[in-house]
Amino acid sequence: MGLKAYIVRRTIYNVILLFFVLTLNFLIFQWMPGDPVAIIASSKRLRPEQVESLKKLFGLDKPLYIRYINYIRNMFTWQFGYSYYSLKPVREEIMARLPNTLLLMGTSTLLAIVIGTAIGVIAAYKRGKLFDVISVTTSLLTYALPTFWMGMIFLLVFGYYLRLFPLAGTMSRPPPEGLLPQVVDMLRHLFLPATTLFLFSYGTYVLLMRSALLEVLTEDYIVTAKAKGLDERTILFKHALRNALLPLITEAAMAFGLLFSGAILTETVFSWEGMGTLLWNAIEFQDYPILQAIFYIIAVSVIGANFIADILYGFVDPRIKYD
Amino acid sequence: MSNGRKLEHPYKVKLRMLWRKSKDFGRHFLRNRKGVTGVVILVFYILVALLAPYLTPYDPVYSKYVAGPRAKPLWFRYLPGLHHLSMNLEPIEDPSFKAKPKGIKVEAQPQGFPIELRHSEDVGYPRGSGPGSLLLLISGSENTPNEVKVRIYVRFHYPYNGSPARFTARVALFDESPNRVYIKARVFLEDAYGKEYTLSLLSLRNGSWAIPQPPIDSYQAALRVKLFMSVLKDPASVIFSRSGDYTYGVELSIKGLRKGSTVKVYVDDFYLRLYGTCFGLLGTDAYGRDLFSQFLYGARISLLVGLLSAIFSVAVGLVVGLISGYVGGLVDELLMRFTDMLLVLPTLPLLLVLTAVLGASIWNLIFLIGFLGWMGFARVIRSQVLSLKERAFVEAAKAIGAGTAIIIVRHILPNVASLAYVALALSVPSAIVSEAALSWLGLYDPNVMSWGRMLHDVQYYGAITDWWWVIPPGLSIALLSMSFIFIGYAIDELLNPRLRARR
Repeated sequence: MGLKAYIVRRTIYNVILLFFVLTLNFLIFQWMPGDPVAIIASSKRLRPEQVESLKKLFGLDKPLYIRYINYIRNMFTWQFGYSYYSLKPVREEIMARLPNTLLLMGTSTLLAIVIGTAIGVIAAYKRGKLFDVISVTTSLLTYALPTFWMGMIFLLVFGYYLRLFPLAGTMSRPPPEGLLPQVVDMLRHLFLPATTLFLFSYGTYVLLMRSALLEVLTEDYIVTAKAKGLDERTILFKHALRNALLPLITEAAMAFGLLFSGAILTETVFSWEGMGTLLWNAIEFQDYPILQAIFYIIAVSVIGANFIADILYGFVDPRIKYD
Repeated sequence: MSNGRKLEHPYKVKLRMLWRKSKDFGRHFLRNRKGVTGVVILVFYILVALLAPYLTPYDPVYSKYVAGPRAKPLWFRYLPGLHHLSMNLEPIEDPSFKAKPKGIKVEAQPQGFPIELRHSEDVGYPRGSGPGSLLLLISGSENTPNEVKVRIYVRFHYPYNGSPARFTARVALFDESPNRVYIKARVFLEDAYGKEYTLSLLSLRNGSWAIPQPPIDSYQAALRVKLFMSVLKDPASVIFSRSGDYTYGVELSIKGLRKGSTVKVYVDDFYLRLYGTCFGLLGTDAYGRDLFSQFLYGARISLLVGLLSAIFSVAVGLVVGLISGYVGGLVDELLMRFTDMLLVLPTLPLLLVLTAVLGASIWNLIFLIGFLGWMGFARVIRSQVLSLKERAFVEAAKAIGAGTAIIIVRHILPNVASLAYVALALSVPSAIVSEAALSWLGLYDPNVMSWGRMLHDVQYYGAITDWWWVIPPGLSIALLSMSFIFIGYAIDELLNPRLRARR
């Protein structure tokens, strides 16, 4: 079977998967307790006819199957309805947060992949030496440290004691005048959360790259290369590294798939106005339309990223047969 | 039996082999540096968890106000510039008078008539701590004045330069005097300058117990009103403004004492408690709960949630992976699609939503964390089973008529057991961190104190600068997680020797 047929088959499979996830996403929030309209009504002292119009606005006056059909249609047309809490369109709320999250997650993920991989390669090259031991131990430690705790410590040391970075938020309020000061201000706010996320995730790439390389280095063709008298560096970069990159693709695809989800814990510690804090606030306020929308976006991006990774695999490794 | 030895029962042989194997494994394990480090850390935290009740008398959640709120660690007193920290102080050692009282004085004004203070063993304030009280006996004589004042007090030295965080006081009085004797009581405190503060006034009624109402507590606004103090002032710091000798006591004004009649007043639950601004190894939280106890008991929760969730998720993963891989067909398809579905949904948000719905009891946390953690492992097991079931020994088992269940349990399971041990050790850390994250966000079981909840409280009460409160729980989460990662790696290296060079 060729690549084209494979892509077609994967696409069909992924659409079915997405459909199932959509249904699950619908059912979870049907099953959740609490009537949000009742909550709004009691907190804002609404008259019965206003309650009715609210129900209409959220489409809660219709039977379950109609709501399900509406829900599916809305998801495919990216119409997510209105937030129960702020009564604003969900799309507006998400679009306000998405750039911040992409900035935070994008920076930290890219840094983690590049630096983590580099450290992993060096660690494999110097296996058993001090650098190897230290880099493996530190990546395990930063992986095991709870992100929110790391964030608290950073805030305490760099924000509170040393006063190098702001304590909370995405930008100063009011924002400084001029483009350059604004960029600098943003970067100052970005530094601590991005570092926290970077430290949390880079270890995965160190360990992954290191073990993949060491695994490849036991293969026959490496022995052959050694027998040919090639030096260690050429073997590592020309022969081993390319093949060791394969597991990295899956891992990186997964990380990119989660770009949109934001990081609930890190964003909460640093009061970063991203998708993570939006999600957590939505859970606290039982704001189901926002939760549904975010879950949907994450599902689509994860499925998409995995799909791309599957295809990329084929290009990078011609040994793989699609079947 | 030609050699004269009885054949051993096969069960015994098996046991002996198992013993030899595990001894062998243990010997190799102890040679592995990572494994030993992991085990040492783990044993430390297991000991902490098991010995918690012996290391601290306080309950981590319910023992409130063992000292002032947000007290600093006790050893801070010995640091430069922090001598002003005060410790808990109770001038009356045995306030419920179980034994004969010490240091309590009695004084009458005017003097000159018989007065006696003795220990009563059988009478006691019924809502206090059982029998045992002080009995005050005053007999009237010819020249007894119309009004007699009797003071029962204790003089004590307050050795700290800084004031206490809070004080509470109480006295329970029982009047058993003849008719037409009227007794009023006044609870007072005299500071180091000789200034007297009236904390509470009581009138005694014949045949009943009287206690100060409202209770004497420096936190209560009523006390400030009584002391004519502004709302912004704290009675504890106004009264205990410096070190020196203080007096705490109760003054009885007795009217109508005549010749031949004897006034009997029982005194019980006679205490003054000063809550220190430093306490214990790690200080206290916003409710005056001992942080060291919270830290000790937190180890229990992390270990419990980590281990049980890991066992649960590995068990589910094993079952799904074995069935899916071995049975194949429609079952495989269904199980794997379900797995994919759960893998696509983000774990932490899903965990948060489900915990918010089901409630954050400790068993729900264990169940949910376990339930959302098996997917990756199930896939690994499935792919392993797919290759195992083509092997000759499975064919052979089939040929002699073994059923599916037997083949899975007796022939396939032992071959994936090493993977299961590794997965078990490696899913504990993620369960520990998940629990901590949920608790930190506020989804904790109100009846238990975990390290994550400690960190939640830090954030909630704006105590992030109290580093002695922030560091121990966070570091412990990391160390305990790391110990399991190390153990997992060590098991992996020993059981899958082909990969020995990898890590």
